Amino acid sequence: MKTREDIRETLRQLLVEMFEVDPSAISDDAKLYEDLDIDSIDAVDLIVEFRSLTGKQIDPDVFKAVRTVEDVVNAVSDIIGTP
Amino acid sequence: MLLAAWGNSVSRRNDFYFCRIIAAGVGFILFGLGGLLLGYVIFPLISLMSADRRSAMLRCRRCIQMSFRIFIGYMSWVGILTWEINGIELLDKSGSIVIANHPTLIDIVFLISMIPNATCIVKASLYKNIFTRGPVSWAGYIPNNEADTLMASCEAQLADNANLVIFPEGSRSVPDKPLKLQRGAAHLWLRSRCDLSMVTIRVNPLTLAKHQKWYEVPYDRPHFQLVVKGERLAEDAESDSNSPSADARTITRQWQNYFTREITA
Repeated sequence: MKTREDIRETLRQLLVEMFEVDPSAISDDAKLYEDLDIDSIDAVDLIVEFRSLTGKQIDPDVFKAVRTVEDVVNAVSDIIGTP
Repeated sequence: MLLAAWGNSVSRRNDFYFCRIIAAGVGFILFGLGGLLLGYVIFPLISLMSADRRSAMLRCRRCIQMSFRIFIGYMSWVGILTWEINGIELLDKSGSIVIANHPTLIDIVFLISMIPNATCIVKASLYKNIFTRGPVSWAGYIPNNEADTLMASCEAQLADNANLVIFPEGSRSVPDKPLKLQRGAAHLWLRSRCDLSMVTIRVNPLTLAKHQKWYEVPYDRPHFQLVVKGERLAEDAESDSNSPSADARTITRQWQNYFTREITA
């Protein structure tokens, strides 16, 4: 994962494979809880997955403020330091 | 003329309607006083007479179970409601999860009155409410606000042989809306793989539902019917994908279909 586009694509795959999200429902401003049915337990699983993919520690508190797909991309990209 | 109108307007209000309103009010007062008495007098005394925190907690749970039996006895004796249960013997377990649909405010009273060593997940505000604070904390009920530790607390209490009551809807059912279960209970069951009981609660006519006030008593006396199904259904609900989040979705869907079928049957 180098670019924001990579992160976006990885997230899309995780959402579809892990959480049975309908790919057509995923857009940048889709809300995780309301639109994609991702609950707090899923969010923790998602953090664990990103942690093992990036090898970086991810503070769960950062993810608490996350609401949309775009927010996740921003949070992950801040952590791994993509341009 | 006036008399006729009066007669018409009350004719649909059956089963001592006005008496039932008063009895419901008295019931709320008794519940509150009971909470104060248990929380500030009885349970501290029990605690003084118990060897440790855990044995005090078990005695307090037993005491709440008995109090709720008395409370249900009051409600049926004064005619607020009638009730029946099928399969009560299936609730006599240890370290099990009990899931139920949640049509009314007093579902938990029925369930805890019938389950030995029962614990449950409670709204965090009950830990602040003066009437409920004592009992919920002495009995070690699990507040729902600690998201990071909630799952671990539930697992710890199951491992300690408590029977954990969960309403997977998270809050009372919204009347006339389809049931919507959250997935936390399924996650917990997948992790612990403990015994599971499913309790369907049917209430007709509906009373003490979400957004309903205590004095909005139905015109006919409500009947509560509880049906317990055992673990066989839990095996049916098993799922063998490698992803816990997919399994939790599958199981939650199965539970949701089960309850929906049962309450509309």
